[in-house]
Amino acid sequence: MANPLNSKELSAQIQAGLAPLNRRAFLKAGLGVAVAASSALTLGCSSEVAVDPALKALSASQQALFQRMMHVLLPTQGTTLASVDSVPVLANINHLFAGLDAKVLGDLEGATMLFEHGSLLLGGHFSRFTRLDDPDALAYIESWQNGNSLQRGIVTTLKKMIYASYWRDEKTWAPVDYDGPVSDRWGLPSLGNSPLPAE
Amino acid sequence: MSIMTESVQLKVTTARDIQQASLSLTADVVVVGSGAGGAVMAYEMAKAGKKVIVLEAGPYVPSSQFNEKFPDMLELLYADHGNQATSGGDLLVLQGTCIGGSTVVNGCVAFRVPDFILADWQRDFGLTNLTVEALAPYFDKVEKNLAIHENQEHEINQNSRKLRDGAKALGWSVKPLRRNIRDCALTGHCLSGCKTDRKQSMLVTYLPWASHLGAEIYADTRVTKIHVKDGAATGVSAEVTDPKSGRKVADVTVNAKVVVAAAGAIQTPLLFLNSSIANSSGQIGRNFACHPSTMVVAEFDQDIHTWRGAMLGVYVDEFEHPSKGGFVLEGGGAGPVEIGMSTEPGTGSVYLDFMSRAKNYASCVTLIHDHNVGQVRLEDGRKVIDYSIADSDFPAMKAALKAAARIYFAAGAKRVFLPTVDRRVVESADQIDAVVDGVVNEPFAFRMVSYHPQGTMRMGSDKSKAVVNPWGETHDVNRLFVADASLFPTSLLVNPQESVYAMSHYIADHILKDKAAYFA
Repeated sequence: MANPLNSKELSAQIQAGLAPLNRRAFLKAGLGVAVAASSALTLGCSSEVAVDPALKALSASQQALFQRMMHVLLPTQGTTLASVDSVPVLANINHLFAGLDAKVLGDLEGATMLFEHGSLLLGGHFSRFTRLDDPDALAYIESWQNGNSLQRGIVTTLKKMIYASYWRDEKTWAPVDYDGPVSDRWGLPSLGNSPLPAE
Repeated sequence: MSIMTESVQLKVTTARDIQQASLSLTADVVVVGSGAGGAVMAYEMAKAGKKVIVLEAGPYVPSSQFNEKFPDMLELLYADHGNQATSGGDLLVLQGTCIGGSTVVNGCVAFRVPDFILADWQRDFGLTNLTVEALAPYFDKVEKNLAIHENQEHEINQNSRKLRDGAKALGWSVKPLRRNIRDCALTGHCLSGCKTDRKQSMLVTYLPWASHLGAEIYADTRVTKIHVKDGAATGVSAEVTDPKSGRKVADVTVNAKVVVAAAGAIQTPLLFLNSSIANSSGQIGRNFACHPSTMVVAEFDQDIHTWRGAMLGVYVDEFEHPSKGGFVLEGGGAGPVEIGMSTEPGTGSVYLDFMSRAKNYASCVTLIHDHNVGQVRLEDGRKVIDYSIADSDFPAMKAALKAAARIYFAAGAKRVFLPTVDRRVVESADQIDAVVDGVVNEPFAFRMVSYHPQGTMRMGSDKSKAVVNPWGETHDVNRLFVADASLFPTSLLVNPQESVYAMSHYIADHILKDKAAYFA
């Protein structure tokens, strides 16, 4: 089974997956060139997302990707749920990234890069994911959810990060009636250590 | 070296207590790991008057620091900050990595090894010593020591009552779970550690008892090598690392007459592989099983609040025996983080609509008696866990989902959400087979978690097929024992903690019965 977050496997799978498209000149030189080309093709298609320099574990492109993705995945406007903009989702993802080791971070870099540019390379859109409009972005995510195991693995991983980063915030709990921590609120005493058995 | 008392509860030496660059210690018994197997072994040895040193790779986190926020506790108490996964990436393997190990973060569920599993072990692995009768005194003792009891009615929450109602309506066997807990406060936060020390984890039982009897406990101390001389274990090397900075603080050497590896089914084989010992069978790290589990969510009209009350209340054992399916269903509660990641019936507004009704959901956990098809190995010095659902196990996975769905519809559910990566919602009982049968065994088919890694240091009488003999000592190296879930030659099907306690106690007794051989 291929690991969608293993950089070597990822690279091999990306190249295998792109093989049918290699008639395109910008893909012939490999994925790196393809990504550069896709970036160039889409340059200026929409406005850039502001980068928060405090979020040091996330690159600018990752911040943009997660910003866009969380708004597509969590369209809270008009619902009773906590507004996605009131929750520090991006900061929570940054915190999560900061705790990962270098290898996993490298794998995630590959995964986010592929997801961002896959819309151009694989998805039939002439735009990076972050520049798709809401309906196209949603359709793109769902196409990956129903795609091959590599796509499912990547999109599931990214979604889980976003969902966990949203629901871990206390502001999201009251709207779904979740109680959160209760021991202190209930004044529960610690029972301490159990007594040594009489044997 | 200064021995600090971090709290009134447990005397532990941590990285910040160590001033020297290297420590050389001596003991009768050095125990690697402080979880279910290590803690029981440490206590039994200390009670027998042996000088015991326990080395734990994880940090010491007193229960006062448990904040009942699952994501925070995943990062603080679990292996790889909760990100330990198989090489394929589609199965999270959750293990406690802290003083007390997984006993700190489990759901308290306690089972004896099922009789039919012991029969398999006797027949297929020559473990004729492990009879129901031989193990009964060990189970009796740990059950008494850890207040293991059948859930009373007040410990069966709305969530578990739905599972029970549905199973009863279908005429299927359903029973209260047994748990190691005193005066459960019904907070539902078991997986974040028990903040008020009701769970009878090793943190508040066997470890403080062992410490009281003289055992020394070190946190932040990862054993890197087991030393062997003239065919017998002589001790271990370890590194003490500051858990915050990741900086190595000291090297530790422990010379000991007996070495007990109890670091769990992931770390124990890695330690042996790194030490290049005891592997004439070639079985170290192989035969990994893990009870891959999924969470089935059902929607009801009324409020359930699955997160309220005792986290685990009842289980359906109708299909426990392999001839009937080889799976169990446990009524397990979950908070929005867990629900929000384990089930997803759609994207965007569909997902939010689903989550907005979280209080109406009941949830249960599926466990299957999986085959030992995985492997734990080292690759460039890094841990690798290879595991995917075997084709022979896939029918059990699907049968468990079907049974759960049937139960929930029998209990009045409006719909059932399947734990698949793609969208699968069952709207009525007559759709169950078609929807479940559409799932194909491929990577990222299910949203899976394992809490029960097992099997990587197989116990058996044939040294060409097993690492460890029927009394827990390695076939190849004398005075080197294993006392954790890696011993189990097949998966248990049920939660393994009590079986690890009893097996560790059994192995400790064997060591102590032959003191002349082991402690001369």
